[in-house]
Amino acid sequence: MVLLVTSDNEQFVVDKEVAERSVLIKNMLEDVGESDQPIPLPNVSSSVLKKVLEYCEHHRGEPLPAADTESSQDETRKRTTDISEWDQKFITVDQEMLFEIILAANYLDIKPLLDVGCKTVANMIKGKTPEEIRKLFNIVNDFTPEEEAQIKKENEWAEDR
Amino acid sequence: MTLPPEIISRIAQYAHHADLLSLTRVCKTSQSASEAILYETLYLRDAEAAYFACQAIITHNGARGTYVRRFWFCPDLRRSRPFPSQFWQAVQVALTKMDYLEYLVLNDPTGSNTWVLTPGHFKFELHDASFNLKWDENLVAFLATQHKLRVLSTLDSLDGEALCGLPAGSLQNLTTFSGPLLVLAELVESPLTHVQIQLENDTAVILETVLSDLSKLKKGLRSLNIIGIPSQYSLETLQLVSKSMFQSNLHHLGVLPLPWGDRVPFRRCLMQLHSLENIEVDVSRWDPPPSEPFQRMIAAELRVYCPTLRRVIFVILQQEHLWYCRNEEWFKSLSFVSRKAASLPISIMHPSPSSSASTTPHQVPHFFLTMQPARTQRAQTHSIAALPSLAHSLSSFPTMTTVSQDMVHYGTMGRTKKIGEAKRTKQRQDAIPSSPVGLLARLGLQRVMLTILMQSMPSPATHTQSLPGDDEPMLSIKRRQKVRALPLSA
Repeated sequence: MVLLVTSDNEQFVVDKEVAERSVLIKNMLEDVGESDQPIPLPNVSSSVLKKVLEYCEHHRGEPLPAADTESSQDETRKRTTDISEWDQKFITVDQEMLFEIILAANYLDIKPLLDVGCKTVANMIKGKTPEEIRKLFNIVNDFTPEEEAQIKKENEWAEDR
Repeated sequence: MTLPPEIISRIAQYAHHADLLSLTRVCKTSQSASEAILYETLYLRDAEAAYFACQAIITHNGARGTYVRRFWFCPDLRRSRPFPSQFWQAVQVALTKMDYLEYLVLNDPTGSNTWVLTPGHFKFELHDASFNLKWDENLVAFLATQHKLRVLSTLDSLDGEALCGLPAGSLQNLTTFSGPLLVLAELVESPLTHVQIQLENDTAVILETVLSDLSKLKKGLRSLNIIGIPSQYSLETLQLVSKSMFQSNLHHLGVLPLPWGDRVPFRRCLMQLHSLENIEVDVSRWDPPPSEPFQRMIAAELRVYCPTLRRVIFVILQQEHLWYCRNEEWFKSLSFVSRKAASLPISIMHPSPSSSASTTPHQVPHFFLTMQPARTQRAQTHSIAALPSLAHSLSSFPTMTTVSQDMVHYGTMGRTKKIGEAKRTKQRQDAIPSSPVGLLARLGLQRVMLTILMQSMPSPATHTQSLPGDDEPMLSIKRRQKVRALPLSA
């Protein structure tokens, strides 16, 4: 068993196998060796960790993505935005939580969860205009109208492709 | 709450093409994330789009240029008129911004604008290059700077121009070449493993010389495909190959006109090829063409003398018939394909000294207004390139040579003409490899096709326990796509 401590000082006792879905925790455990020391996770709140552990619990035992395939994936376009049924249900949360999960998955280095989160966001922006995307995610427009028009013009060649 | 740039990049990886375009205008972070993807692989069939893509790369100090890994300019060479020099200037300047470019395809309908490649400005080091460009001092000077180049495809020198010699020490990593015989003769120092030769009437006579050089130098040669061997040279070619240094290493050999009558000498040569898995034979001159049972019989006969043989491809004018062997039985592949569509009557157009239309950046250059062909191509571009699945598979295609370990795909090279009759009448210019044209580009589609095909048809590969080099499914796709391929076995 592994003891995890969240940013709001809550403690979670989880199976090593579940905790090790996180590459960050896995590496920490390998570095420290067998120990009862709690692992502090200062970037993750208890509400988010609960959710993340739910995911890890469900996917326990599944093979972890190999490190080298990951690098080659990074260079190329992701193939699909399909999300499995369970994952889809799991990730149906409010946007604040969705972003928190993505950030936590990134910090904890849980690639499959990170991908589920990013795919979900990609699906959310589908068919939306830039303005709608900004509104949806509360993004500040740091372009002047002229700059925005210029970018549109410059990338026009790629339309209808 | 805002997401950090690395997460935005990850999201952009999953975004659909149209959404990427929206993301370019959401904020600066999403702009660089999405443009990094939009510009990573530029597959441009339309000159107008290519021109504006180049302009977009040139502007802002070439910021977008650093995203580009693959630049494939593949206009429809059948329809394209020469593009004016402004167009090529834009391409040239854009290329100077692409510091990380690895794959370059430039198909110039005239084959003459090699000045685009004048070295000195480029920082990139190419892995794969395919040029519908003549072999001249510009091209040679450029190639001499490309030390990492592994795959090359070019045209011949123009008629009447002397063939430019490649400086010693050039192309030390080149393993795959596709092009004219005379250029091949320049590549003696390269560690070639895969060679496709475009034979022409005037070069057929020196085939023997070049082949015997090749046979002494290229021990590692695994695949040799010669397009357009006159039938009188067929046996001679095979004899040279069977006595070459690479005879026991050769996995693929084509396209040999198969004699109708006495095949004893032919079979004797085959016995010397201890690794040969694929052979392509041309039976276009047979009258009547061999029926299916006859084809099966010939395939079986060839295997008696060459027990490693696993695939036999019969070429009958515009058609190819692929047979594969499984458990000592021969089966015909489903991919019975007419090669008609692959024939591109291409000729080098000698452009009138370039139109002097002056253009300023971001103005519709006037030459596009008269460029009907480019316009009409748009529909085509749309139909293929608009497929998101294609876009995905294209960009996820890391290299030409990873199609499978064993194959390199070429464009509609060589087979672009009727092997029998065209050869006799054709002028030198007809033979310009219409080139590696679509090839890289088509790989994406091919990959999709492959997936479909693998799922939908019982592939021999699955039965033969995936022996190395079991590329039959790829082969069949190749035929479907009418892409000239060099099946480089195992």
